[in-house]
Amino acid sequence: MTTRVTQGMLNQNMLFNLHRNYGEMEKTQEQASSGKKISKASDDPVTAVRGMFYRSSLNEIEQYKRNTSDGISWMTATDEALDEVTSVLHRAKELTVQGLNGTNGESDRQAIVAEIKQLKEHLGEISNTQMSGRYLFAGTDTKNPPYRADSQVAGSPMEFRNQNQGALELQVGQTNNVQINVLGVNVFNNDGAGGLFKVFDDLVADLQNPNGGSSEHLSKLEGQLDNLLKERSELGARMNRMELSMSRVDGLELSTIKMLSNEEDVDISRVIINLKTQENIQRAALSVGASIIQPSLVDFLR
Amino acid sequence: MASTFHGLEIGKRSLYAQQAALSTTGHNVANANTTGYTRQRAEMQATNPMPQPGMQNSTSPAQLGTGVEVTKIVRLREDYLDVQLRGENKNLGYWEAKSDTLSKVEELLNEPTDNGLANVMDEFWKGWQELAKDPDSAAARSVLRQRGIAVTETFQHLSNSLTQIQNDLKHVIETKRNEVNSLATQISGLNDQIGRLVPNNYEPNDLYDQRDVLIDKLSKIVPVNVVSGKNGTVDVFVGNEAIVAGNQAKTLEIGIDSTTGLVDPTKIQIAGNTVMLESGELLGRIESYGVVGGGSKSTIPNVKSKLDELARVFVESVNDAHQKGMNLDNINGTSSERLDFFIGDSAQNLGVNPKIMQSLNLIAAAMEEAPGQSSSGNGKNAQAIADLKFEGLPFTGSTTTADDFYRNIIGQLGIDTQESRRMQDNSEVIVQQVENRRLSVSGVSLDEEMTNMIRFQQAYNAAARYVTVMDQCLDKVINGMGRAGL
Repeated sequence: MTTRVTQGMLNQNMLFNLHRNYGEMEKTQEQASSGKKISKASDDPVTAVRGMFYRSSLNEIEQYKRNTSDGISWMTATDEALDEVTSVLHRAKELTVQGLNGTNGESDRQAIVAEIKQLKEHLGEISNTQMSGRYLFAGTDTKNPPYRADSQVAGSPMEFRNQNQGALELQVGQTNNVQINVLGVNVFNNDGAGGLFKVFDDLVADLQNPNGGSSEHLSKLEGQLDNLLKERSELGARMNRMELSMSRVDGLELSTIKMLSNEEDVDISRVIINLKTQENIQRAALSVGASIIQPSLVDFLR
Repeated sequence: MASTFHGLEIGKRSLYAQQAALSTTGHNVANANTTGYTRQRAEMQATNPMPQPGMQNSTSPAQLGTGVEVTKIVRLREDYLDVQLRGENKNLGYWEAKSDTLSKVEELLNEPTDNGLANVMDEFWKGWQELAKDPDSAAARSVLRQRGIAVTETFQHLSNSLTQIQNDLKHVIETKRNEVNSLATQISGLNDQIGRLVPNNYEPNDLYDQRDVLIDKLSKIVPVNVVSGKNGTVDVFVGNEAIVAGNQAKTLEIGIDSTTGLVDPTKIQIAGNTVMLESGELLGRIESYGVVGGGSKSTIPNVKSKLDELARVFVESVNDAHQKGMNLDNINGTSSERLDFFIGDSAQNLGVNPKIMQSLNLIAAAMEEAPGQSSSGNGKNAQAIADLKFEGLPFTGSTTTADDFYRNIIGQLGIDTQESRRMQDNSEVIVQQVENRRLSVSGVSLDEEMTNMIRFQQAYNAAARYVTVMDQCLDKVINGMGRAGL
């Protein structure tokens, strides 16, 4: 069957196919210049939705990373403070042993008492350690210093007055919250009746009494040291957990980025080959079209 | 026996016929590039031979031919191809219209990128996380408030832009309706002219061509059904109603439902009777704009209502959680009022609570530690609000996270756009193929016309030579016979 073919048909066909080729080339060029397989959701809806999901996950992971690093700074500062408290307690023990020694004279005793009072003040300062304007040992009452004078009684002495038991927690995973603070009451007021500071007060009072010198102070100091070590080891365990979370989150970030890249990114070599192929097809179409649409019988009739 | 001038008459008839054929060829060549032109051909027929049997006629042994005449100038067109083209054209118009709007909406939402609503909402949840770590920091509160404002502004921008697209569509619909009416009027005018010529036994080929071009244009906008009438006129039906009946044109009206602002399908009428548009560009635009009872086909109202739903449930959930917490004023006893974080209930009218705009202290980051009591460093309510990102929220018909719901919107939109584009491509190819076949039948081939021209020219030359020969013969008879011996 011979179909009648007219110049109009040849023209139209050539233009139609050229346009389609240009359309394909535009798409490939977009892929090559942006490096992404899709530029809008309709190019591949499933890839688009997955891409959105991974992006959202990356946002979450970024936040967790921030949280873990903030948590570790806080806990490191707490640990250093507790280290200071340990040294203070050791020094206090030495002084106690010295003070209980019966060979001390009055002036020796005064010197020991003075130093113990200074040690107590120092403990107070440590318990008021701050980080970025928030008190480490104040539970959730982070704006009020735990070791303070009573604001309603004029001239009252500085005491550890914080009683807050709130935990400060940071989220390091979707269902993973880690407590980062050590409760001040657990360290400085662990028996609810004055704790560490009361031990020092009792010690000072006893040493100032010329007839005093009970040896129960040593055991009380030992007790406080034990308590301190318990708190520190718990803190250490939590720090370990935080560091583990940090490395897990790092790993998660890497794998999410990899999955996102798998979904969205384009294989450059394939795109360039496609582009070259399409360019070739385009040139062939143009040159063939040009040679077909020009001559007609008119050129050959004399 | 033939008459004296029989030969000359044959020659004359041949000259006329070949000239007419040449003129037709010339007309074809001149119109080779005219849109919708159908090539014409002069049909030649031998004239009645002599003698016909009769009582007084001569008894010569054979009938002598008497020459040629052009009986008709035929228009070479296959009607079935027209029907096919118009059938496909309406689909092309429909899918073009739908894919145009869907692409615009997709570009507006601009996902998946770092600049769309998904990212803004992620930043909002992160703001609450930062606040949970540092609840009494004015900086963290300020950042959170700003991110809340960003969320509301994004929702508003999307809603407003969608409304803008809708308004543009309304103008397009009106323009298309006017175009339909104008085309109908022109077709009826042509019908009128054709109706006057055909009874006089003329075939107005060029008027037919013009009318077909107009009907083709109309077929892209609304689905048409062409029925031949008398005297070469045609009636054009849209659905069951005739928009062109002979030389009368009716008007198409499109009515808007007053409560919803959408197109009411019962008010799409020709001369007062409702028509059902099954395809065509007009239907595509109307569906994109929004039609009453259209469900998921009404493109823009559908996207708008889903965004509104997202905004409403999102805001309600955040507000519920915010009310359960304690803000700084509650903690230090200045006031015991629990506030909403957002005001508004649809994408259009969202805003951050003006009281919170005035004072950052009213952001409730803390959870109660004892009844009515809490501390400023407690960020547990902020954490609870940040966790809303992962919680299934009560949307109508499903319980899912806000992110999932939004991703669903984008995914569905992507699929719809992809499908409409694919259908548009398919329709384009089919229309192109049918057009090709039409050109194959009706298009002018310059080569063919050139050969025809040579044929007719040679025949004309031959006829002219024949006339010369007859002239010489007659000359012999008139001036040479009977003059003997000169």
